[in-house]
Amino acid sequence: MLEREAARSVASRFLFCMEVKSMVKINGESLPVAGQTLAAYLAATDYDLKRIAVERNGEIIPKAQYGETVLVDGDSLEVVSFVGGG
Amino acid sequence: MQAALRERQGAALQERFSAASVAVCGLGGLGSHIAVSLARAGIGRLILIDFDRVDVTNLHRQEYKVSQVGWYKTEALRENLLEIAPYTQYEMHTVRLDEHNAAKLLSGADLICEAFDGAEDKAMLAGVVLETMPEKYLIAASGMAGLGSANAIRTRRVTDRFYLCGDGVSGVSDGLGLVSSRVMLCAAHQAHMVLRILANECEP
Repeated sequence: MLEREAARSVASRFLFCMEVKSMVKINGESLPVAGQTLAAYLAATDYDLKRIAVERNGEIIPKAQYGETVLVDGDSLEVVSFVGGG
Repeated sequence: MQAALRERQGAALQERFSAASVAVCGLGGLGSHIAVSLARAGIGRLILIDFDRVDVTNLHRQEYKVSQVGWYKTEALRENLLEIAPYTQYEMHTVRLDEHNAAKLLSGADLICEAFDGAEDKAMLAGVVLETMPEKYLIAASGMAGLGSANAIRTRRVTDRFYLCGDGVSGVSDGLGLVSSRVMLCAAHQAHMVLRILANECEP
């Protein structure tokens, strides 16, 4: 019984780690998009490329590099989407 | 006037403010108020950029007068600022800022306030500054339309040199116009962040 519990505990911890590792945090939400390019991720969303700026791990990603930027496990991104008014 | 400012703000701080050069891109509801705040604080040099003329529909939220309708905003604001703070150096540019002229127009600025109206113009300026001018600070604005809570307007630090003011979501749309008081709140956030950065207080 104890052994089974221990095994379950190890397994759940392992799965938990796996889950954390494969996630990319975007605007505070953890999403399973590691391995995708930024361009591919954005294309699947409603973001208008002409109205955004993207920050990853504290650095701005130039627009020309969206296609070659691969999202990596543990990345933290913010997509700033501007709205009109001023 | 310099003596009065030194007395109010302290000599060390006033020295930093008068040595600073700040650009304001767009002189509408945000930009005209940002410029007034920075001029009052004794910023040494303001680079003020707008292509447009004062329209009667601007008067409900922008720092212009009925007598100035039809003037270029650069001319009208310069006149108003000279009455408030004649010791600041004003560099006016009556031109539409874009990807091609940004580097030249903004070369003399230490900090840049984005104060455009259109979302695409905002993103364009953010792209140009953040991608090609890594030594400069950008203080941008997004989301200040309508009558939402004043307390929803805030300043966030997105990267080391990129700050964003506003509530992030309230864009101009049908039925959600710009209200002077809320636009001024956002402009005040931007101007205040400029002063805090100059005072080495880099967190919002």
